[in-house]
Amino acid sequence: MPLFDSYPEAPDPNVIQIKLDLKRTFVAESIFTDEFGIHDKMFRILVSYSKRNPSVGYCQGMNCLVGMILMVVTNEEDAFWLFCTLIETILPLDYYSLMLEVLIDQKVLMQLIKLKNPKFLKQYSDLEVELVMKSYQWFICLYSLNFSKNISQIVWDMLFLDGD
Amino acid sequence: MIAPTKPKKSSTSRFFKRFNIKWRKNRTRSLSNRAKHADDKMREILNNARPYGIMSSNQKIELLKLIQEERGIPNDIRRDVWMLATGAQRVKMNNPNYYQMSNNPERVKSCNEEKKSFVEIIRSKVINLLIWYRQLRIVQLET
Repeated sequence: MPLFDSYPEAPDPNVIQIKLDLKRTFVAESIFTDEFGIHDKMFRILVSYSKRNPSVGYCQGMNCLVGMILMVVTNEEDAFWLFCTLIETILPLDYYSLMLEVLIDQKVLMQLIKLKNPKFLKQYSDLEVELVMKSYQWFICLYSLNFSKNISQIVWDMLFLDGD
Repeated sequence: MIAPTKPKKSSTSRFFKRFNIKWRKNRTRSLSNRAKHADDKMREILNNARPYGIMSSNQKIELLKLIQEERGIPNDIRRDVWMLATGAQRVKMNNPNYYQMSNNPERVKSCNEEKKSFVEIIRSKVINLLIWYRQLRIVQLET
């Protein structure tokens, strides 16, 4: 028997990454513990989505989106469909697959800051800190990780009502 | 040149000064009534959109105006706003039983594979432990 055939089938890399990221999601929030079963819900939603849309699969940051959705929409099926609509309809096509749209969003943000608040940009450049490094997380998690829960929910309200 | 005249105190301000407490009470009551009215209006918009599973752009604009007035959405209706504004409710209505475990062979298969791989890992670890224990016993007996 060839050596390659004797090896067991490689596990799904998406599943491994999802398992790793679950414990890192909203650590400060009290409902994100095993006793509420929210990690199980998140795992099922993320694995189901990676199987539904293999071209996108799973990306880091999606765990924050599902976590944020589950804070408001407690029903698992509703949360799954809301997540699907968010990725497939509201966000641009390559947002999580090629990440091209994230780069474009960052460029737009930089231009806006340059126009509206050049002092802020100058301070960052004086400190030799790249704002792009910081803003990348904002866009990937759709502002859910870096702001308080209430502010993020208002941002999401606006995104859903006025986003498309 | 006409000298600017001193503005007269309005009757409202005089009233406010004299009946400060009464005025405030009335004001809070009217504010809460307004908030209640806005909540009812939001619920009405959601109820109108619910049969279709999606909100029209006019309904979205109306809801946005109400949110601007009230500076936010009450938590109890946020779920419905998200589901209907995105159209997720409609997608769910069009795909019944897609996410159900019993009706989704792909998902059942993947979950079974997960369970199977976990059991296999545990089994192999137990077997390794037994082998190691047996070897240890042999070494002990020999010495």
